[in-house]
Amino acid sequence: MNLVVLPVLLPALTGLFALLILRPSPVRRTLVGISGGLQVALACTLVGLTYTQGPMKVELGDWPAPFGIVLYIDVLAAIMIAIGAVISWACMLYGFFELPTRVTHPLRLPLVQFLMMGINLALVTADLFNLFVAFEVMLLASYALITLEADDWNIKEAFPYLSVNLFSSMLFLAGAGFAYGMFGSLNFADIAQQAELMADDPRVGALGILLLVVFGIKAGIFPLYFWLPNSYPILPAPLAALYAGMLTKVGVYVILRLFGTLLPHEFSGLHLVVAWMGGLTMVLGVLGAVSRGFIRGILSFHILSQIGYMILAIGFFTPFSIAAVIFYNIHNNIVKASLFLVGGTATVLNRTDTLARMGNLWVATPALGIIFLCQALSLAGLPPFSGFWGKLMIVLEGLNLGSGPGGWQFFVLTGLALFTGILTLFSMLKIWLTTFWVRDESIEVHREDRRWKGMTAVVGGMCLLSLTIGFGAQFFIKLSFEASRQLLDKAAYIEFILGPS
Amino acid sequence: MGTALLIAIFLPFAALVILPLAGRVLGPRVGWLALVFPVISAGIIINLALGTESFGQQTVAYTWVPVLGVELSFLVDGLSLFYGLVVSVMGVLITFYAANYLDGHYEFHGRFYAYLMLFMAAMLGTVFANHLVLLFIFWELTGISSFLLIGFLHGEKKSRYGARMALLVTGITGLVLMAGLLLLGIVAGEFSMAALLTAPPTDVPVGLLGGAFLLVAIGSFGKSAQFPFHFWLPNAMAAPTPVSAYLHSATMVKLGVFMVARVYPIFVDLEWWTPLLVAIGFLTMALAAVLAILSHDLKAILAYSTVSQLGFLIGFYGMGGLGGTHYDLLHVVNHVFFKGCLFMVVGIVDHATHTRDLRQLGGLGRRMPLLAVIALLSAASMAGLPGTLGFLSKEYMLKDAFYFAEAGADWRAWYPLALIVLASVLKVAFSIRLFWGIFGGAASPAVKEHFHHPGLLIQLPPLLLAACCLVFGFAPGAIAAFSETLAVGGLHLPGAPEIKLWHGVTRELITSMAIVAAGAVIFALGAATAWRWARIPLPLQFDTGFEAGVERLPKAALNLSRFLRDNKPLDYIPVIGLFLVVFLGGYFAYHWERFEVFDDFSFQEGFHYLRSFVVLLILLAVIGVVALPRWTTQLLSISIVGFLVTFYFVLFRAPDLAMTQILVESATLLLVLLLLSRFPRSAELGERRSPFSPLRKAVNLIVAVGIGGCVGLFSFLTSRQKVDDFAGLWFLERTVPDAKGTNAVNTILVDFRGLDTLFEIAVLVIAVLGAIGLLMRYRRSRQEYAEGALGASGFSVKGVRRRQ
Repeated sequence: MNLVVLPVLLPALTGLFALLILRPSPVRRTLVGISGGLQVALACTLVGLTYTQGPMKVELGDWPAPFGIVLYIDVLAAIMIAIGAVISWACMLYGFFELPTRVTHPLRLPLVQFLMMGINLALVTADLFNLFVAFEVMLLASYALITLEADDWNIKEAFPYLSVNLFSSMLFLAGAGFAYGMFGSLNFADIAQQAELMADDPRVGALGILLLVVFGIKAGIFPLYFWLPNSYPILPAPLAALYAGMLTKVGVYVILRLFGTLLPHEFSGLHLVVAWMGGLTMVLGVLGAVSRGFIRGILSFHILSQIGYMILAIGFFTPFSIAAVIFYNIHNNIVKASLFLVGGTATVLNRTDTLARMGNLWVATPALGIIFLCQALSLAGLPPFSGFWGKLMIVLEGLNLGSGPGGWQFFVLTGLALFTGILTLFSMLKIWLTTFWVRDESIEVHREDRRWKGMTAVVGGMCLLSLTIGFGAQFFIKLSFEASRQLLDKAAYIEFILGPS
Repeated sequence: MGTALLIAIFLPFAALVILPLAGRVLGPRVGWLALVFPVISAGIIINLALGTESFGQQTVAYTWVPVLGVELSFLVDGLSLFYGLVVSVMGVLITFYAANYLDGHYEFHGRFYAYLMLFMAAMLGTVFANHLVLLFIFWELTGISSFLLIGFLHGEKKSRYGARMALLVTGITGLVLMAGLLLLGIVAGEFSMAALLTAPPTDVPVGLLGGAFLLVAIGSFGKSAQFPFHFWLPNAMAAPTPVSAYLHSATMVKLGVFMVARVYPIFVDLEWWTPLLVAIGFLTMALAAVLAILSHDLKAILAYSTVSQLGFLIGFYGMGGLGGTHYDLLHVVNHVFFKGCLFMVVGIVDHATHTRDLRQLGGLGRRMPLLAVIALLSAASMAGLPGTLGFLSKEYMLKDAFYFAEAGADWRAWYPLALIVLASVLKVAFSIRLFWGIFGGAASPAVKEHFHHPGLLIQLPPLLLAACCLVFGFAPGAIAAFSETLAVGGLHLPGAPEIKLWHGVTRELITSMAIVAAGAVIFALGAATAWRWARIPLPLQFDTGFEAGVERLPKAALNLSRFLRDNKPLDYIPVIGLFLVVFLGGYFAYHWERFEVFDDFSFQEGFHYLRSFVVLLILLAVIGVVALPRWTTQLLSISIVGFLVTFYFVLFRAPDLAMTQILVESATLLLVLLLLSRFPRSAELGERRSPFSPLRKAVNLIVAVGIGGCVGLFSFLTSRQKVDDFAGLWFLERTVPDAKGTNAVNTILVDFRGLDTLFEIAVLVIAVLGAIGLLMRYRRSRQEYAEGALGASGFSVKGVRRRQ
C-alpha cells in the first residue's frame, strides 16, 4: 500500500462509514474518533518519512507523469496534512464535548471527513486540474457545513461565501485551461519545467496573476477577502476553528506551490506586489478585528491579518522567508483554532459572545483564562510563545532585505508587520479585559453547564501543543527549513516527478 | 557559575505552578512560601558577586534554537550583576512586605505571588541575557507580568485600563526595541551582546547603525516612561502597592536605563547619542517634576518623581563622553533605596487610612512615629538633604552638569543644568509636602475615622531601605568601592575619583543649598494656598488623550471597514472583479509590446461565416440578459447562451460534450425555473422596486466587460502560440493500445484521469448531503420567528436549549 494515498483515503472511508451509520451514537463517535487519531499518527509518520527520506509520490493507475495524475508529498505537504489532522481531530473531540449525542447533527461528522478529504487531496496533488477538483470537494463540503447548523438569521451570510467561491472556481477553471493551452500539460513538474524555459514569455506572468487572484480569494488576501469575516462567524465553534485553522490556510499552501514550484523564481516584481498585498491584508485585517465587538468576529478578521503575515513573507521570497511562512503556518493554525475553541467555551459559559455582555471568567475558570492568554499572546507574537518565532523570522528577513540596497520598501513592510502585532495585541486585550477581567454580579457564568470542562480540556491539549511549538522551536523551525528547501529545489522536484531527463 | 545562574533565573518560573495551587490551601500565608524563591535567587547572585574580585565578562551559553542562532546565553559582568542584585534583593524585601501587606481583604494570593515571581525571573533574565533575541524575550516577559500585576485588582475599571495602557505603550515600544536589536545584530553580524561590547561594530553603514540606535532608544524610552511615553507609569499605580514599589519604581522601569547603559559602548560614538538622550531625558525630568507637584495622590506623586529620576538617568548617560561615565550606579542605587522605601511607606499609610489623597491626610506622625522617621529619612534622600545618599547623588549630578555645560560649545550645553535645577527645586518642594502632608499637622477626619495601626513586620523592609539611605550617606566609601568593583569597560571610566561627603564650599554645594531653599519656598507658597491651584492642565494629560484615542480606535476601524465595503455582500464580486481587471488588465497593458498580439494576424484569414454568426447570436443573448426586465426572460437568455455554446462542440467534433452541454443546460433551466416559480411574488417585486443606481450599473458594466476582455484576450493569446506536445495527443495514441478503449474522452474520464472523475462524483454526493442538510432544517413557527434569534447561533447553544 502506498502511503501517499492514505491521507485522502482515510478521511474518505471514515466519512463514508459515518454516513452509512448515519445515526449519531457513542459507537459512531468512538470509531470516527479513533480514525481521527489514526490520521494524526499517519500524518506524523509522513512528516518523519519525508524529512528523513525525501519526498514520496504515486502515479495513479500507473499512467506515467506528466500524463496521468501524480500525488506527491514533501515535507511541506506532510506538515500541512499533520496540522490538518491535529486540528480536525481536536475540533471533533471538542464537538463531542460540546454537544451530547442526541442533539448532534447527523451530517456534521461525515461532512467534516469529506472536507478533510478534499483538503488533503489539495495538499498532495501535483496536477493543476486535480487541484481544481480537490478545491471543489473542499468547497462543496464547506458550503454544506456552513449552512448545516446556521440559524435562520445567519444563513444569508452563507450566500456571499458561496457566490464568491463559485466565482473563484470559475476563474480557476479558466486558469487551468490557459495553463493547458500554454504548456500542453497539467502536471506541476511539467508546467514548472516549461515555464522555466518560457520565462521571458509574458503569458507566464499573466497566468501567475490569474492564479494568484484565484488562490488569493481562497486564502483571503486584500481586497479579495471580504466574503470571509462575515461568513465564518455563523459556523459552530469547532467548525469555525477548523475553517480558520485549516481551510483558509490551504490557500496559502497553494500560493506557496504557485510561486515555489510552478512559476519561475525570478518574478521579483510580482513578488514585491505580493508582499504589498500581504502588508495591506495584515493591517486592514487587524483593523477589522479591532472594529468588531464579538469574539467570533474579532477572530475571523484575525485570520486575514495572519494570512497577511504569511503572504508578506512569501513576497519576500527567500529560502529563509519561505521557511518563516511554513513555521508561521504551523504555529498559527494551532493557535487560531484553539482561540476559536476558547471563544466557544466562553460562549457556553456566558451564553453569549458579545463582549459587552461577557465577564467574570478569570475568577470562574482560570484554566480557560490561562489558555486564552497563552494563545492570544502567541497570536500577537509576544515571546516566549510560538508566535514570537514566526514574527521574529519574518521581521529578521524584512530587516535583512531592508539593509540591502534600495530596500526601504522592506523596512516599511516590516514596520507594518510590527504595527499589526500591536493592534493584534489590542484586539486580544479587548477580549481579555471584558470576558475575563470584568467582574460584574449581573453577568452570569453557567458553570453548572458541565460541558465546558471537557471543552476546556481539549483546548488545553491544543495549548500544550502550541507551547511545545514555542519552546521546542528548534525542531519545528528545522522542519520548516527542510520544507522550504524541498519546495524551492525545483530541479529535484522536476526530476523526481518526471524522471531524469 | 552556569548552573547556579540558571537556577537563579529559572527557578522562580516554577512558582507559576506551585504558588497558585498552594494559594488555594494557604490563603494569604502563601506569601511566606513565595519568599523562598527570591531568597534563593538573591543568595546565588550575592554569592556570584562576592565570588570574584573583579569581573571582566563571563558568558554562559546553552543551545536553544541553533537553527536561528538563538542560544540561552547569559552575560555576567558588573552591570548585569548590579541589576541582578537590585532585582533579587528588592525581590526579597518586596515579597516580605507583600506577605504582610496582602491580608485577608484580598483574593487570589497565589496568583499574585506567581505573577510577582514571573516578573522577577523575567527581570533577572533581561539583565543577564547575552543574546539579543533572548534579551528581548525576557524584556517582553517583564511587560506581560507587569500587565498581570497592574490588573491584579481587575474588578476595578481603573486597574484594567491602567494595565492595558501599560501593556500597549510598553508593547509598542518593545516592538520598536525588537526591530532595533535585530537591526543591530544584522548590521554588526553578531547577536551576542558580549561580543558586541568587546568589539563594537566599526566600519558599518552609519545610517543603519544610527537607525538601530534610534529604535533601541525609543524602546528604552517606552519602558522607562520617558517623554512622550511617560503617562503610562502613573496609571500603572492601580496595582497593589508592593507592585508599584517593585516594578514601577525600583526595577522594571529601570530597564530602559539599563538598556541605555548596556548599549553605551556600542552606540556612544554616534553623533545622535548625546543630543537625543540629553534632550529627551532632561525634558522628561523637568516635566515629570512639574506633574508631580501638580498631583495630590501619593502614588501619583511618587510615580511622577520616578519618571523624573529616570529622565535624569537617561540624560546622564547622554552627557557621558566617549570614554565612559562615573557613578551612574550611585544614582541608581540611591533611587532604589529612597523610592522603594517611600512606596512602601505610602502603602502602609494607604492600608492604615484607606486614602492616598494628600488633601485628606495629616497628623499621622504621632500615631506612627517609626513610620514617620522612615519617611523622613527617605524623603530627605529624595530631596537631597545633606547626610543622605540623595545629597551625594545630587552633588555629583550637578557636578556632571556643570562639566557638561563648560565643555559645551554654546548655550545649549546649559540645558541639562537648568532643567536639573528646576526639577530639583520642585523635588524638594514635593518631598516636603509628601512628608508634611502625611505626618505633620493635625489628624484629618478621614484619618480619625479609618485609622488602624500597622504591624511592626511590615515596617521592617522600608526601615532597612531608609537606614541604607542614611548609612551610605555618611559612609560613601562603601558605595564607591562597590561601584569600582562593578565597573564595566567601555561604560565606566577607570579610576573614578573618590566619593567624599565634604568637598568644601563648591559651586555644587551652593547650588544645592539654593535648591533646597527655593524648594522650601515653593512648599510654603503651596501650603499657604492649600495647593488649590495644583491640577494637571489638559494638554499635559497624555493619558486622557491616549485613552480617548484607544477608545475611539474601534469606531474608526469600523468606519474604515465600512468604507472598504467589506460588509456589503453585493459589492464583493464587483470588488474582486475590479481588482482582477486592474491587476491582469494592467499587466496586459504594461507588457502589450511583448505580447505581439496582432503581429501576424489578419481578420480575413481567420474569418469564418458560421462561427461569426454564432458569436453574434451569443452576443445578442448576452445583451438580452442585461437588458430584459423579468427574471424569467433573463434566465432564458442565459440558457440561450449555453445552448449556443453547444454549437462549438459540434463544430469541433465533440458530440459527447455537446450532448452533455445540452443536458446540463436543460436541467439547470428547468430546475431554476421550478425553484424560482415557488418564490413569493414579493421577492420579485422588491427586486424591481430597488433598481441598482447608475453608478453601480456603470461599475458592474466595467467589471463585466473588463473580465470578459481579459479572459478573452488571454484565451486568444493562449491559442495563438500553442506548444507541440499536448498531453491530449498522448492520450489519443494510448487509448486503443493501453487503455483498451475506443473513445478518448471516455478513457480520459475513467482511466487516464480517473481520480478526477472519482472526486467529481464525490462532489455530487457531498452536494446531495448539503441539500439534505438544508431540507432537514428546523422549521420555526410564526411566533418563534417573531421572537428573534434563539441564543447565540452558530455555537449550537440553541440546539441544546430547544430540546430541553
